[in-house]
Amino acid sequence: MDPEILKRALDRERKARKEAERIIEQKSLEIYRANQELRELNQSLELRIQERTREIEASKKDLILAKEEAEAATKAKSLFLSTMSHEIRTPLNGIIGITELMMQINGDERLEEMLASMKYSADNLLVIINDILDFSKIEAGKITFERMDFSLDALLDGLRETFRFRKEEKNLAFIVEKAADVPQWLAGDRVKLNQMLINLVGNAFKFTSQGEIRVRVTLLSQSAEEYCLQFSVKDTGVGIPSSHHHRIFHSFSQSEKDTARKYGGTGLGLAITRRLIDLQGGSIAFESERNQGAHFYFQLSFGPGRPPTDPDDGKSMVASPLLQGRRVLLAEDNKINQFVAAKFLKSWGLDVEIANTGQEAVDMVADGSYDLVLMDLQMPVMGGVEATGIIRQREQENASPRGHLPIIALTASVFEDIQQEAIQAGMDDLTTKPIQQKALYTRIEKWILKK
Amino acid sequence: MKGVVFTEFIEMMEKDFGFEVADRVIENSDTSSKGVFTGVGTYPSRDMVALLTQLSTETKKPADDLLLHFGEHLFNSFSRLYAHLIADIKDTFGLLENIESFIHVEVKKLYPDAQLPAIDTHMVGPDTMELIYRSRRKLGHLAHGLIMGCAACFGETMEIQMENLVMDASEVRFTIKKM
Repeated sequence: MDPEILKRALDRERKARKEAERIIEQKSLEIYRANQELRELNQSLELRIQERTREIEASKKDLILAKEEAEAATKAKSLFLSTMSHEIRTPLNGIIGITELMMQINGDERLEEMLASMKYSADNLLVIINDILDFSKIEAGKITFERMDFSLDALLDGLRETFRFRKEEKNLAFIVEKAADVPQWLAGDRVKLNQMLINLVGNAFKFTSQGEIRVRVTLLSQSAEEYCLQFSVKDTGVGIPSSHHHRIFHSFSQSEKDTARKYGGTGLGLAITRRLIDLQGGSIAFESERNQGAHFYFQLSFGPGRPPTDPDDGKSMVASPLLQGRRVLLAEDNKINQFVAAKFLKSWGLDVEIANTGQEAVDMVADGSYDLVLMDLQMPVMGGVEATGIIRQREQENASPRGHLPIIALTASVFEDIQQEAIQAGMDDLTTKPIQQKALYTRIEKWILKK
Repeated sequence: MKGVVFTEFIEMMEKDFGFEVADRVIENSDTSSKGVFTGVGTYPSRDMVALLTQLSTETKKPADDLLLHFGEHLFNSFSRLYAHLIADIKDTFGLLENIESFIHVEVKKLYPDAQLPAIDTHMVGPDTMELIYRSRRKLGHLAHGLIMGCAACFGETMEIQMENLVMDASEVRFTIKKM
């Protein structure tokens, strides 16, 4: 064979091999670059994941922190509200008590009128503060309901009486009616029912300048255990525009921005009323249009009640002659409250001595003989609960010949757990501030005469 | 050792010593691949030693001289095969100082396992470069030839002195002076 042919064949093969090698190298380079890109992508993905994880962790922390802050803020707000309300109630009770005493002194007509409006304003302020206190109690889940026999007729009479002054002042018709089939005696929480009715009727008066306000109680259904009643409050006032219907039961919400300026109030009344009704298993609704008046109505169930066996409902405030000369120790640090309570006690013929602290009360009980102690729970140096504990302990140790000394707690707190604490410490009974003449008298008479 | 060194060695033998010599050298050398090489493969260094020794016997020329000669040939081939890598390089010193930082980097991309000599360069005078070659393969003469091939490629005349820094020639200093 011609060597030239072989050489050409070899050349072609060699060129082919080199071309193949070139292609392989090119592919290798491409693979290298693709790998490099993948690696970089991988790294950047990992970095992004790390970054995102850090961000998520951070925002999670922020959220937890924010939640804790919000919870703490709500707690602080509730505590602030209840503390403030409590602090305001104490001096306010003094004002109301003294105003009542002044009204008992017959002065001239103008003074009496001024005192009446002063009492009216103070009462109003008390209602607002009680609202706030109630609301914080509801928010803290600390509200409880009592079940006591009461007269619906008496409650409705009280309602008429409460608004008599405003009815005359605004020259409105105020009709309170009860359907014939509604029983007089019911069992349930009279105080809260009264509070709800006063709230709704109060609103009706506030927003009505002419026409009438009509309260109706009807029987919706009845069984052996309960009566389902409907309470309806209807006015001919300014009404509520339909655009505001959805938030009328919200807290701190009023129909229009200038409502508070024009009509006053906290914007809590309806929120409280609704919550109270909800918590008792009832329901509330309303119908209203602008300038067409408002009609609020709620359903609540009550048990059948019995009239009290004692026919004397303490209507007459004539003090029993048996109280004459009995000795009462009043342990109370607030001067105004001392003054008001002492006035009442003295007017019933009682001898009153005053202790300013729990320690003073303990010492005075040890030295003198008293028929009853009226003990404030919050006093400097030593509170009423502690003082009562010491008095009871000494009674046991000495096997006191005088026997059990009745101690009645005097507290501005409406929280049940504080009241419970007082009973556990050995107190026999309690009465809340502001001091109500009738309530105080009933207890004093009961415990002194029992002894 | 990279296959391209073997394929180029064979081509150099064929071109400069003839097909018969090349054939005998390959046939008489005990190489692991029985004389079959591809540029993209990798073969033991001792195969190169076997071929070189055999060529030296065949041609009766010292192995070092043959390596020097092969170096020149190899650079010439590289400059054609990888023209794109040196397109931006202007002269011999420019290329030599880029071996480690650029050319070897590109080689590693293609052959991550390649064991490449370490090359350090620095200028010791305005026209004089010192280049230190370190490799356990001890192919200083091949490096010498490559440097000469490089100078030829850029049309420069260089005076090159070679000096073993270690007795076994695993570390060699070149002093390259541009004339």
